[in-house]
Amino acid sequence: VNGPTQGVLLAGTGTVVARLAATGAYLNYLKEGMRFPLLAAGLAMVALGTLTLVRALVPDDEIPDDAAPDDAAPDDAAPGDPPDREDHPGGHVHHDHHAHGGPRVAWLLVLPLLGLLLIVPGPLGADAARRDTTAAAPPRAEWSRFAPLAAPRDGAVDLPLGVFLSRAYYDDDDSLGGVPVRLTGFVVADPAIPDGYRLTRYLLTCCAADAMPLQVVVQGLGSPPPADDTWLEVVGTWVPPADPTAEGVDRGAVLAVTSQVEIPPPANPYE
Amino acid sequence: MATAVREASRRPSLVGLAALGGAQILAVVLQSRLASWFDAPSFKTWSTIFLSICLQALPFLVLGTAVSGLIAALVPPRAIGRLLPANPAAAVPVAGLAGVCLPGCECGSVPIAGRLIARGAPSPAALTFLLAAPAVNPVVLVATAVAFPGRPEVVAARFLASLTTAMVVGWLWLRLGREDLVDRARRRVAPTGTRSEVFRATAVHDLLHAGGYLVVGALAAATLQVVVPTSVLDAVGDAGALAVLALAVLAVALAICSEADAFVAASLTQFSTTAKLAFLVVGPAVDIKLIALQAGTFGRAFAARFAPLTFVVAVASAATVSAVML
Repeated sequence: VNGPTQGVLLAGTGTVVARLAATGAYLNYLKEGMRFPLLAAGLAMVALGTLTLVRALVPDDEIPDDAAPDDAAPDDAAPGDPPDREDHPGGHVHHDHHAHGGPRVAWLLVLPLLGLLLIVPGPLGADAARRDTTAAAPPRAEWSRFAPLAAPRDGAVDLPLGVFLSRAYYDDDDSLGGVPVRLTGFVVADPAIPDGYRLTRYLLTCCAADAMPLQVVVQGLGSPPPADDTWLEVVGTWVPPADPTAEGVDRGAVLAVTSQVEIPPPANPYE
Repeated sequence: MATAVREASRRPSLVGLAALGGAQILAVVLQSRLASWFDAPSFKTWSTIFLSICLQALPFLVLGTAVSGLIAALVPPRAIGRLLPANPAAAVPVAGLAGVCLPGCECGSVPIAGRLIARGAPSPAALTFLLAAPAVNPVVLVATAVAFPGRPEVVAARFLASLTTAMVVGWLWLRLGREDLVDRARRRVAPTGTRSEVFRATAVHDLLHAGGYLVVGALAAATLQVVVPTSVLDAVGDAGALAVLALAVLAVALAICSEADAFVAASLTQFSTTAKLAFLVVGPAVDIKLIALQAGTFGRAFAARFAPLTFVVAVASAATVSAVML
């Protein structure tokens, strides 16, 4: 990777990254709080890349010889030492490999760049949820008493899936009992649930690589489930566990649906 | 011969530049058509995870290479060696505690550790810093406390086991490691010129270098996440020592950030606390993304010895601390 190419590679990647942060498209991959770090990193890469490009395209005679980055002595040579290449038998190979200061492995940066320009994959969806078969549970709260639910809107309380799951698993007072709630998520069809589907939304800590699927079984549809990855607002009531002695995740999380509306995918697809 | 090669590359060779520019223009023009070719659901899942790992690590990598550039521009050679205790064995705990104060991520600490070695830090101390910085900094400990509410002993155990791992590996490296294994970092060409030019050249070199290896690690981690079914975990969930080993291996394969791993560990409800602790101690010290970054910075021969050593020490340290504290 020679000087001008280094510059273009860095500036190009930086531009795409900064644009992701600016448009909000980064939310398909990262947590909301990563917006500013991502923007800063993208802009820093644009600045570094532009400087590198400018420097590489300035004719050689305008740069003092001792400033050429590929002519430097190894780091550990003291300033007064004569450049003694015999001490570093591998040094020549190193230089050849790093023709003009740029490591060849840097070409691989083209892959994420192309991925962000060509493939532009959406958020994790039903395909990923099917691969992840372990039951994810939000961290168990140390308290077992939950605050009262918020006031209903249009006859139902809006709840994130994670909150619904915590209350279903851990609430000794069964605060969900009999209260109409409204949940938002996408459809993951499951042959084991003929009368419904798994309403799913991913919980992100940092990025999609650490995502955990939050899933509520929606039942009582009376019609075939919508297609996978359809986003829905579902209104219904919590179904208490069949076995009242069950604890935690074993209590399950089931919603008896009363109505559901298809909605466009939210700007932030994760919780 | 080296001179000939360098003379050749000094000529304005714009082929690579033109190819890259052309590919970018083509990509923008063909975006909608190409997007439909990549529609297979499993491919999309894979690429979402791959890009997430790259994007998540990028800000920390940029920060790490900026620090590396600052060290190269401002710190005179060998000054770091003089800051540390002269006895290399005593320098190890100092480096470990320095890691506690520096909130960073594993991706950022690799180029910093490489630059520290290039600037004359003894390799055991630099490697202890490399292991400690991402594992025991305040951000990670707070995240762990949030993921394990009401269980401060898990936070304490993580702190103790990770710091022990970092220092034991440093001391073992002092006895067993060979300096020639980190030669690649020591031999790195240091740009000369004005301070700002040294900063620019070092930061660009480290960013391109570590960035390339980050892509290697992200490719491997995304593939493992998509290909290996999580149901293999259910089989070993209550199998004692095997479960500890299983979560340690999972930490290597998943390659998630140290700020996030506590939440993933907490969600693995079928596993013992000892197994979860092993997951938390191994993850920031050795994972597939880090192995790629370390191979790039220090060389493959280094990574082939350092990764297994760290893995064994981390699992042993987690098991011991867990037996005493949990």
